[in-house]
Amino acid sequence: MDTQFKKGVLDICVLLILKKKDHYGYELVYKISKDISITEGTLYPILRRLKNEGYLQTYLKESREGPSRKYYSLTKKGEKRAKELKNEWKNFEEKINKILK
Amino acid sequence: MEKFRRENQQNIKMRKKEFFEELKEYLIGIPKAEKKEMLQDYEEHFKIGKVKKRSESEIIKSLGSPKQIAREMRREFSSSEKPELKSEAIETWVATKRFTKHLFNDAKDKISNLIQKDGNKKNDDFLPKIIFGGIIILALILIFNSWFFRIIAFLIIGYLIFDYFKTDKRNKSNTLKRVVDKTISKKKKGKTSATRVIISLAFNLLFFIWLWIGLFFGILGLFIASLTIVISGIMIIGFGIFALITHSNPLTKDILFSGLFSGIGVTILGGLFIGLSNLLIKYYFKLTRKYIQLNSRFIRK
Repeated sequence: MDTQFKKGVLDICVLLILKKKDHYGYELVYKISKDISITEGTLYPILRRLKNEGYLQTYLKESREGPSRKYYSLTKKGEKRAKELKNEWKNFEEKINKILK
Repeated sequence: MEKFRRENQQNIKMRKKEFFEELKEYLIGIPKAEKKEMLQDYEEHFKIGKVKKRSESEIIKSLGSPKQIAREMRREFSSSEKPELKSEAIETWVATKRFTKHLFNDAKDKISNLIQKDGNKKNDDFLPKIIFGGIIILALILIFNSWFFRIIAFLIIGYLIFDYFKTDKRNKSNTLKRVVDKTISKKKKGKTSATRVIISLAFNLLFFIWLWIGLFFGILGLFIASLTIVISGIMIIGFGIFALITHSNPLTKDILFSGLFSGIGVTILGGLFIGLSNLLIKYYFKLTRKYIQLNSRFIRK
């Protein structure tokens, strides 16, 4: 997949995955990189940026195995943004599908 | 087997360390707070990956190269309008830095090999001799950049090589060794340190050699100037005598005499200057010898 194209999709992926359930960094990064072939390391800066923009917030949580983990969750603003992006994506998908037919 | 496993673990640890070192290297221009937090995130990623039974090399591979990560970060956080361009510049800088470091380490290894190999068989003073000879020849070529000096330099280098191999075969002392034995201190104890050889080399090549050559030509200039003063003094005396013989006007006689004496004065002054420059050149060589001794002592720990 084209990298520019992939980049646009990444924000949507992060926000929609977090909408379902809070994730810790490793888990989230692993999940996304498995489906969209992107190196895991390059996702952390995106998470950080989304946090700076106020879409995400983080909290620490103890874990039974290993160190305490940094969890990511959506803020109110983030939830709104997720909804917007989902709708945008659906519109986009419809148009593309029309062209493909 | 246990030992091998431990070594292997160490190897992997080195790789993680290297990963972070490289990442930090590339993160020039990222705000400090972001940098700190990002590094913490990657540290956590490693720790959790380990809990999930992934090997460190696997984690490193899946994270992607530090260069790539830094590019991504710059795209997200850099205030620059063209983060790609900035990335290019920083990557070039890092590559240059690494190349220099590599060169330095390589040179260090080579020199320490040379020292270790030759240390037992040959005179330990051989190395400083070659280095100083090399520096002087290089500096002369750089200054004059003429064919004459190049030819002389090649002759000297050729002689050095010839001399070196001659000694190697017969295992006797050669002329250069004897000269150096005289100039360099008698103390033979202590090992030669490669780092210090490089430091001394760099310092001499960058700084000292120019001072040294400048001083030499300064003294040479003084010598030539005093020579011309002597010559002009002699000419004034000659002219005075000639004028005294040919002119018999008693009125100008006084002036001609005073001219004659001033000529003598100038000649003596020139002679004094020649003496001074001789003295200076003597001390100059003495100091050079002392300086070389100092260097040879410095490169031994």
